[in-house]
Amino acid sequence: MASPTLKVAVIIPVYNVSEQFLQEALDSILSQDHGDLNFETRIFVHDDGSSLPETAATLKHYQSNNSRYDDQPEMSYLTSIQTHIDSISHLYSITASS
Amino acid sequence: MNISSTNQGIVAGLNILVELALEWGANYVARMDADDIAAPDRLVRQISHLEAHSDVSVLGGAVKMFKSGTTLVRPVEFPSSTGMVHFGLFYNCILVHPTIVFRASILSHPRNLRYQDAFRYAEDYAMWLHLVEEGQFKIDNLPNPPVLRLRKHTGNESKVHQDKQKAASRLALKTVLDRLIHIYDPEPWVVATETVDCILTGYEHQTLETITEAFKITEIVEKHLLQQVSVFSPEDKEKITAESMKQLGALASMEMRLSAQSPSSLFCWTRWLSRKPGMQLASLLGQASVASSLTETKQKAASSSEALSGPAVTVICFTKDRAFQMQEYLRTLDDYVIKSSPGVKFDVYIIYKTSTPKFAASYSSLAARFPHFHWISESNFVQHLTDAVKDAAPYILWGVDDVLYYNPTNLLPILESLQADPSILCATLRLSPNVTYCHPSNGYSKLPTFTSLKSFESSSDDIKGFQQELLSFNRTEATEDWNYPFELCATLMNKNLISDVLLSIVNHNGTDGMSHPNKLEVTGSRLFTKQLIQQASLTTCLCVKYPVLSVITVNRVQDVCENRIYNEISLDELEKHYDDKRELDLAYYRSKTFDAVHIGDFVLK
Repeated sequence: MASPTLKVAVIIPVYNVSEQFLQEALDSILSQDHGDLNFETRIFVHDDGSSLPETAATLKHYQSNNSRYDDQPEMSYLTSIQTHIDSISHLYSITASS
Repeated sequence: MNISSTNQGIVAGLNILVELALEWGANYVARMDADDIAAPDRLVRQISHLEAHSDVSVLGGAVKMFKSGTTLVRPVEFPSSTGMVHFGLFYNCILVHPTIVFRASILSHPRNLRYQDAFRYAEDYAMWLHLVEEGQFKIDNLPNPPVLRLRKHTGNESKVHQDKQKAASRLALKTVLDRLIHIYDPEPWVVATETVDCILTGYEHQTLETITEAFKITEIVEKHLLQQVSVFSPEDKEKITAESMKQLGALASMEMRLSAQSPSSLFCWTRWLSRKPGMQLASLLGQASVASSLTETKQKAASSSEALSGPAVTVICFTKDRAFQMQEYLRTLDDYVIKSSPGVKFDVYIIYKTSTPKFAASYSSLAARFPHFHWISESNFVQHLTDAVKDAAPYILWGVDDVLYYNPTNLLPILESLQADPSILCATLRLSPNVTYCHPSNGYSKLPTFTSLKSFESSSDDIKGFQQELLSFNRTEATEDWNYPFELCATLMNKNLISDVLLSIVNHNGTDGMSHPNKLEVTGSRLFTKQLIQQASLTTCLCVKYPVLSVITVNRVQDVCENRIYNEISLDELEKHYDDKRELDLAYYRSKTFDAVHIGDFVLK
């Protein structure tokens, strides 16, 4: 019997990071080996109001290309939490395909 | 990432991310920074470890530093056993935050652990310290290979940010320490900020006050951790005690350097001594070290009283199962050093070891031939060594049985040069500029530049007026034999310096670091090359221009380090030469100019 899937949240605070650095960091998580271990990974990013446009652009790109149909409830949670934090911060959820 | 100018702040951001992770139902939370690169097996290694060790709640890992577009800078690995991580956190943040994976359960009710804004810039350090203080969760570090490549930014982190981080770390540590002091000390006090800084910088800018306070704190931290029975295994506890003893020993020796008082009145020293099982060793070394911390005036007074009675040298030498070579060493030491140094008082300590009754009998007969030397049959090397150092004259000349002196050397002018300039580390008799090849490492040495200090004559019964020149050199300009500062076959060194090295060995490696002549030499040298002792800054050494000895490396008896040897001559063969009362042909050795200290020529008369 397969053991239950473990959930691993990778949390990344972000402020003004170049596209290249962000790509390298996110890709290194999205392409993790799983070995014999049964786990799923989701990256949560808090962008603390970056003024560098490529930071937000890269994160948006990754979020839309790495989400699943069951992300919807979570996205709404993201949105609801978003309203409680200041207006220039942004939250992203990026799901690794397993 | 330039944290200092973010808007909402890193702490608020991290706590929001933690909420998201909990909301999603995460079992594990992994931290990472946006400019780092995770190793492909980072998560599987860390999660597997946590799955296999249900008692571990927080797990860090090793990192490799790298610069964009270049190769790695260096791997960084922190202690990986629980005891060492918990103890170590009281001295430095030894967890790399972006490598951390923790169980989501430590965040939930009733603890509701979160990052605290009060410790912004060191919020992670504060969190781990809090956990370690609480003593409910185990924290570990995975050993190498690295789980993360950490981007090293050049000039990215501003000085301002670094200062803020320092201040926050200081506050985090001070907060916990003040609480612990309140619990454990019947007369609680508040830790001085200077002391916390001193601890976090690895005891930079130490004063007697900060050292004393750091000592008390270390004892409290040790006590606090050792009573957390649920967290630590017996092995963990042993490690904590050992690490604590190491720290306390280091603090006691720093205290001694800073103070001119007698050791019995020193707080750390007396406390340490009362706990140390190898007390005698400690106290012997301690007395010697105190002497080395005397003021310059006192040193001058000492050397002037020395001048009245003439300088004195203690030879300490090691030998095992080689009576023939020992005979040749002692005979030539006597003829070419002791008798060639009029006005110098000598004392010779021989620490010898035998593995068969036959060898033991040979040493007995050799001892009868040199009855005025101290013959010590080795049963406890550390004890014999420290006894000999304690009793020693102000200068010690090391010796081993495969050394053969063949030209006379008057030590008096050399001793005078050593006395005149305390910045000289040592005078080595085994080196002269003809030595270019290093046999133990099978490599050629880079030679230093030499400065001639003085010319002098030496005489023995058979050689009159041997012209010699004393040279000085900077060992750090050179390699191999020429930069091997703690050399035990024919080096003349100040006794206080040797005591300091022995004490440092005990502090860093325990008495095991000097349990054997080979280990003593290797561990001592490492302290110099790794700059772990103050004396490592001494770079000036003396040598002679014309060779006076060679080391005849024909077999291996002190075999801890697998030294290279030339064509082997068996111990039995050597023993036969001893029985037959043979001698080496000194004229042969004198006629040659060898390019190495260690030679294979074995020529009998």
